[in-house]
Amino acid sequence: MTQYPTKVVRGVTLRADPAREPCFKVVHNAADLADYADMSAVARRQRLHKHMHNEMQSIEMSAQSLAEFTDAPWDVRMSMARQCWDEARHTRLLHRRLGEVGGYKGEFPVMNHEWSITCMVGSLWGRIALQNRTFEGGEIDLLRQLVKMWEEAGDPVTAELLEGILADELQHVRYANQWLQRMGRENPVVLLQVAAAINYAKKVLKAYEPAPGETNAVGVDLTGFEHVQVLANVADRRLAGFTDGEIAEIVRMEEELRASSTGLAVAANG
Amino acid sequence: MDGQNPKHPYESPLIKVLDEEELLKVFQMTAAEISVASCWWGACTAGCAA
Repeated sequence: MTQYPTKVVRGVTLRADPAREPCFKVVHNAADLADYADMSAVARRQRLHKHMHNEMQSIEMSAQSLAEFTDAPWDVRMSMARQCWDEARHTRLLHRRLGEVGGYKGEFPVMNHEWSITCMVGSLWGRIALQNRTFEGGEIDLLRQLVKMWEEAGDPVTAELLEGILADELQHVRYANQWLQRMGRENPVVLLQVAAAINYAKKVLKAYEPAPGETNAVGVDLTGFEHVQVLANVADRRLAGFTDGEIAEIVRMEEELRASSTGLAVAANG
Repeated sequence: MDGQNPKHPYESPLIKVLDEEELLKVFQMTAAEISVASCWWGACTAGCAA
């Protein structure tokens, strides 16, 4: 895992950032981002900008895997190539929408968070487990919520755009699930690679967890958000090829997190 | 050793073999776990309101 250019952030070793146009200010900590917590005009531009940049990273992750794992089965390479096409389209759509609401490329700092974690993993199946099954799997949960949020904020155009992106992401997660289930049956080493990748991501995410009271560049409290508000989108996870057992486990994990979070809140409030 | 069968002084360990579905089930992450690192994808709505 060390043949790549790397960087160390908050004590963990990550893949070094991909190239960026000079208009982008790249940061390495959530505390240096200018993410807003509301739906004001500037917050809407920032949300679109962040999503646009995340889609850019998705293209780069899939493209990097295509370049680095040339002996992967042809069908999975085709799926990754099609994914690059989808993610490029998402980036362009979000860039266009950003312009329509008065924003521009480079308006806000960006962080190559998912790239730095995913592309540090040395196996294709580990990367697919992270990029598609974990990050995009989580995005399935989040996007359904964001569609509703933009609708309620009076922006049906962005809501529809996100709905379209969600439909594409389902396919990315589905092909990952199908391949991982198949490869896991055929070769147990693949399962070890998946386990190693998930453990690595958990370690990184733990290191990135903000300290109590830590704020970002625009003063938003990074620990003020109840993350368990983003709950499993069961119907779409089913469409994306997660088994009933996997969905039940995600729901159980969320219930456990919610219980511990409620317990902490009660303790904190006396 | 009181109360135990001297022929079996300890309990035999249980061995559980995970198949691929069980293992994939265990190695999952929730959106909340992912988001906690950097308020993922601008998910903050009500809770983050500063």
